[in-house]
Amino acid sequence: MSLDGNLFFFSNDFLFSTTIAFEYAYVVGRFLMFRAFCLFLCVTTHLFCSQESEELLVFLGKETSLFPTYIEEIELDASKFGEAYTKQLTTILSFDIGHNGMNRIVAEKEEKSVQTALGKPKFQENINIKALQATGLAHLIRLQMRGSNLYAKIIEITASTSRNVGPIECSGNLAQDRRKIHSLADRIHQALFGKPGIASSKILFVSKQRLPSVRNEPQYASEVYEADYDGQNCRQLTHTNSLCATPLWIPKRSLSLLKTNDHTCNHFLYVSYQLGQPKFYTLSLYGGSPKRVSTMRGNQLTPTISPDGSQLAFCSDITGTADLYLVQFETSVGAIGKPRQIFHVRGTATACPCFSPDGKKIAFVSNKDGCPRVYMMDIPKIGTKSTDLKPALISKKCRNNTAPCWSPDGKKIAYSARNSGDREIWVYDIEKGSEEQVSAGEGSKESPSWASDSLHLVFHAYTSAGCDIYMINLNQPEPVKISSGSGDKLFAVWEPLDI
Amino acid sequence: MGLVNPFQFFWGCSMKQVQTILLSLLILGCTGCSRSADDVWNDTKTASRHMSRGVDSIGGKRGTSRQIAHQGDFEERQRVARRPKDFIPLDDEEELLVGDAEAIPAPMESPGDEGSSIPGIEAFKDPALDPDMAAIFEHIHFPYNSSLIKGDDNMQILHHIVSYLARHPRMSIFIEGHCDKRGSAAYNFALGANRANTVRTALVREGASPDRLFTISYGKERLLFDEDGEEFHRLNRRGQFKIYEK
Repeated sequence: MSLDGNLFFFSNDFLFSTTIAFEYAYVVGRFLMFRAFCLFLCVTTHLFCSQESEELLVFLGKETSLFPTYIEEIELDASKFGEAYTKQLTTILSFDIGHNGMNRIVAEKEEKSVQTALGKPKFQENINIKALQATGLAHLIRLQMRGSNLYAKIIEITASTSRNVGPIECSGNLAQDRRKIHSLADRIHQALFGKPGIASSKILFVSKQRLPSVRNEPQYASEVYEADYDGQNCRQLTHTNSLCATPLWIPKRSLSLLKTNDHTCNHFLYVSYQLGQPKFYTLSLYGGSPKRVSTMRGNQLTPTISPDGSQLAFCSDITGTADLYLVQFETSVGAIGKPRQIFHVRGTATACPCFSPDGKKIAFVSNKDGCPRVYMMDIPKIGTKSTDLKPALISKKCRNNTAPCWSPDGKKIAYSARNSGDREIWVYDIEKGSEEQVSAGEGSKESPSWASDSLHLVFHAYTSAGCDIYMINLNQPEPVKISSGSGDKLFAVWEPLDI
Repeated sequence: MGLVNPFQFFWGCSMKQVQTILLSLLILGCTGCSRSADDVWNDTKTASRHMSRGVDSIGGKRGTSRQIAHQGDFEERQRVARRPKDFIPLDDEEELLVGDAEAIPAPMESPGDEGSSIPGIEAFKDPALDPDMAAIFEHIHFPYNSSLIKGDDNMQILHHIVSYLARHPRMSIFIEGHCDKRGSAAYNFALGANRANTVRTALVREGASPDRLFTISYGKERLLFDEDGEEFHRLNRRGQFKIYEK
C-alpha cells in the first residue's frame, strides 16, 4: 500500500517499481528517523537528568567572598588578667568573628604576611595601612586589656578608617566573660555592617542519654538544655526523667504585651512524654514548675509558635490520623479556646508546621503525595473544607523532605532533604521558587533552625560518632560542631532576637 | 516525497509503532537518568496523585466513598462522630457524619490527666516481662515509610490481642508507634502516630473497645537497634504494647 497516492497515476512497471523503491526508502527513512528521534529523546533525557544531578550535588562554597580579617592578640596594659586568660578571650572572639557569615579569619599563610606588614605597633599607635592593603586584608581588629576593661579598635583597611568599640568589663569568670565577648563581637558586627550579629543569642536543644537496658530493650531519657550559640555555657532546663522533644522559644514580643518584668518573659515550650502520650508544656528559663499548654486528647507533636507569639500550630492524632491544628496561645494561659484543624488528608501523616514571619502562612510536611515533601499554604479560615485547601508543593528536587523552617526575613524556607546518601539542608527561595543545597560535609542533617539574621542555621546531624548539633551560615557551608559531651544532641532552635 | 513532516510522522505510525514509541519513552523515563527505582516510583506516585485529584475535582468528585461493613458499623461511626469534640474540625460534612473509615478518633479519656480513670504510663507494664503475655503482645512490624499492616503474622498477633482483651475487659493498652532510624526525627513523630493508630484501628475492627486503646508516637526516639542493616530497620519499625489492668 502506498503512502503517497499521487504515484498511482503512473501505473506502468517502471513507475510501479519506482513507487516500491520510494516506499521502501520512505519506510527505511522513517525507521531511521524513528531511531534518530529515540536517540534524540535519549540524549535530551540524559542531558536533562545529568543537569539535574549536577544541580542536586552542588553545594555552596562562598568562603572566598568573605572579608579577610585579622585579630591581634590582646595587648596587656596593667591588665588584671594573665596572658593565658586573655588568649582564651581572643579565641572566643575569633570564633565569633570567623563564623559571622561576613568575615573570615586569615589563614596561616596570609597571617604571616599580615604580621610582617603590621609590625608590632602599640594599641594606641598608628599602623601602616598601605602595607596592610597590599596583603589583601579587609579588616583588622586590635585589642587591649587595660585593668579589667577590654578595648577594641576596628580598622577597615580598604577605607582606611578606624573605630573604637567597647570597652567591656571582664570579670575573670570565663563563663560570664564569654557572653561579654559575644556581645563585643555583635557590636563589632554592627560597626562593620550596620546591623548586630547573632553571637549573643542562645540555642535550646534536647540531650538524649541511653539508660541501662531492661530485658534487652534500650531505655532512653532526654531533657531540654540551653546554651550559647557556640554550644558553650550549657545548662539543663527540664528534669522530667522521661523523653522530651522539639523545644521552642516563646517569642519575647508577645510576652511584652503582658507588661511583666523581663524575667517572666523568658519561657520556652517543649514536648514531654512524662504522662505517656506526648503533651506540650511551658517552663521559665529561670525554673519553676512546668505548665501544661492544652488538655487536648491524643498525641501532641512538632509544635511551632508564630513570630508574634499569639498562635500555636502543631500535629495531633486526635482524629486517628496525624493532622495539623492551630490554637490561640498566651504564655500565661497556654492554649486559648479549642484548637482547630487546619490540614487533614485521610490516611496520611502531616507534621512539622512552621509559620511565615507575618503569621499568615504555614509550611509543613505531608506524605499525601507519596514520600514526605514540604508544602506551603495560607492558614485556612474557620469553616474551610479540607477539599478547599490548596497547599503548594515546594520541595520538588529531592524526596524525603522534612522539618521546614521559615527564615525571619520571610524570603527562605530551610528544610532537611535526602537526595542520595546523607540528608542535607536545603533552602527554598520563595521569590525565585528555586531550591538550593546549603550544607556540606559528613552526617545526616535534620531539623534546621534559622538565626535572627536569616543567614545562620543550626541543625542536628547523625554521624558515626552519634548525633550532635552543628552550625552553618549561607556563606560558610561547612558545618561547625557546637555541641559536646555524651549522648545525642537534637532539635536545636535558635533564640529569636529583634535585629 | 521530500522530507517527512515530523507531525505527519507520528500520525503515519501504526498502533504497534506508537506502542513501541511509548514503551521506549517509558523505559527511557525509568532508566534514562540517575534516579533509583524508588525515586522514580515516588515521583510517579506524586504526579499521579496530583493528577487524579485534579481530574476528580473537575467532576466534583472527592473520592471519599468508604466501605461500611454493616448497619452497626455505620451507627458506631455516627455515634463517635457526634461526640463532643475538643477541637474544631475542618468543615467536612461527610467526614462528620460517617467518620473516617481508616482512623478512629482518640478515646475520651487521656491517661494520667486529672480526673481520668486511666493512670499515666508509669502504671502500665511491659508485657515482655511476663513470658505468657510476651507471647500474646508481640510487636507488629511495618514496611518502610508506611503505616500499613501487612502479613499474616501481624494479623495473627492482632487476633490474639483482641481475644485476650475480650477475656480481660478491665485491661487498657498503650500502643506505641516506632520508626527506624532512616527517616527524620521530626517527621517520624507523625509516622509513628499513624502506625500506632493503624494498629488501634485494626484492633477496634477486630472487636476491641476503642476507649481502652491509647496511642503513643515515639518516632525514632526509642530504637531497639542502633545498628544499620535492613533487618535492624525492620525490627525498629514496630507497634509495641504496654498494658494496664484495673
